[in-house]
Amino acid sequence: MKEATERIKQFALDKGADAVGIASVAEIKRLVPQGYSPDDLLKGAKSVIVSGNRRYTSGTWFTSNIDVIHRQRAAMGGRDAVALAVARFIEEEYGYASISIVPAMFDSGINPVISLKVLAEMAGLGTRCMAGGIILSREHGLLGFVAAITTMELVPDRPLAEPVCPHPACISMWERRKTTPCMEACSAIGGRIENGRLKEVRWFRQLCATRALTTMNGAYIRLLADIMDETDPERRKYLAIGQARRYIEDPPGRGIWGRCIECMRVCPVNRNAIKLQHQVV
Amino acid sequence: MSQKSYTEEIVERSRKDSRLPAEKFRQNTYDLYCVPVDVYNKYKDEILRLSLNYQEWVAAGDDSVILHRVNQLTDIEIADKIGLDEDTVRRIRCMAEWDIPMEVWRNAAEFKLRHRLEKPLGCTDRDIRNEPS
Repeated sequence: MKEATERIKQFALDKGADAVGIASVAEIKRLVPQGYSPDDLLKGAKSVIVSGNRRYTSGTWFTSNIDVIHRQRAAMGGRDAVALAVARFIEEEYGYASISIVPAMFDSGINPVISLKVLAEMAGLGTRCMAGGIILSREHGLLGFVAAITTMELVPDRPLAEPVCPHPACISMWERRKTTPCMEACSAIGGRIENGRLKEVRWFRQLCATRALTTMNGAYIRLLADIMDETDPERRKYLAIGQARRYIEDPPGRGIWGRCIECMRVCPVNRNAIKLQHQVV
Repeated sequence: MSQKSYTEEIVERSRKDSRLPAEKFRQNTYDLYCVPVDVYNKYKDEILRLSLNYQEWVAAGDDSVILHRVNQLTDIEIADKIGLDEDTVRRIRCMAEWDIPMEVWRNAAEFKLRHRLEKPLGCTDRDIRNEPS
């Protein structure tokens, strides 16, 4: 089992993952509500192979152009292919049923079918951070996660014993000013640090979503109601084709997500990881 | 030979396969997907607060937030808590998740623009022009 575990991890790395970990389904079940466990998606699931990819090149973090950022991310679409490749590899090599899980698999509304954050946390790829409970890696900073759920029993990694967040600089800032860089950057984020540990993390998803999905089709759907309410035909026309028209430029299926990275741009853990990975200043 | 039109045939077959009770058929489009407006207005904010739209991790004792389940509830848990059925809670949540004033989207674009210009952190100072403002 150990040999197979290592082989599968190496396969994911060879396919382009920056980090790989294994989570036990039995352990995940302790943390998630009924209906949101891996074995609710695949009966008899035993293990989850979670892989993380850095979302951007280091230089991307230094541009102020939102669209340039997002073309960078689109170019890293290979991340989702890792999950599918791992799932197929396990089925073909070992004969165990497997499925791939990628972001934007929705249960209903904007709730996911399963929490990739929990999977990554249980696979030891990082820990919760103040910024919306994102799973932050000390070595890689912000990662985008995908997973393969399988009925194959593998050797699980353990969750990290020591939290990645808060960074010492954030602890010091909190002690002086009762805030952190991410909290100061974005009011969707709130929380409390006590004795150098995160004691409370609060996150307004609605506020984050409108920033991360500013030009997503959901925004245009919201605009559509206002367009239909406008009774003056001239005003209605200009509402539809004016500046707000930009909201429709990301049609469904293009997968343009995460247009806001302000909390991570100021995060000392993430900034250190960018420098370590690429030796840039 | 059947007297039904092609469309009637499709509707009938779709009803048979859906296995829904008869009272669920012939609803208008609003009732297919939404709850009455007064029910929506009454529960909208409470459901947003209880669902994943507002998330909290609170650590007990000397613990930290690592490996704590988020405080928020699933639709069925919310339904049990406030005395509605799960389907009604889900319909309200899915409506409410996008029911935010348009101004918030405009403010989102302004937030990103100003944050990048005021705290460049190595960024270029080029104005963001590809989002509405």
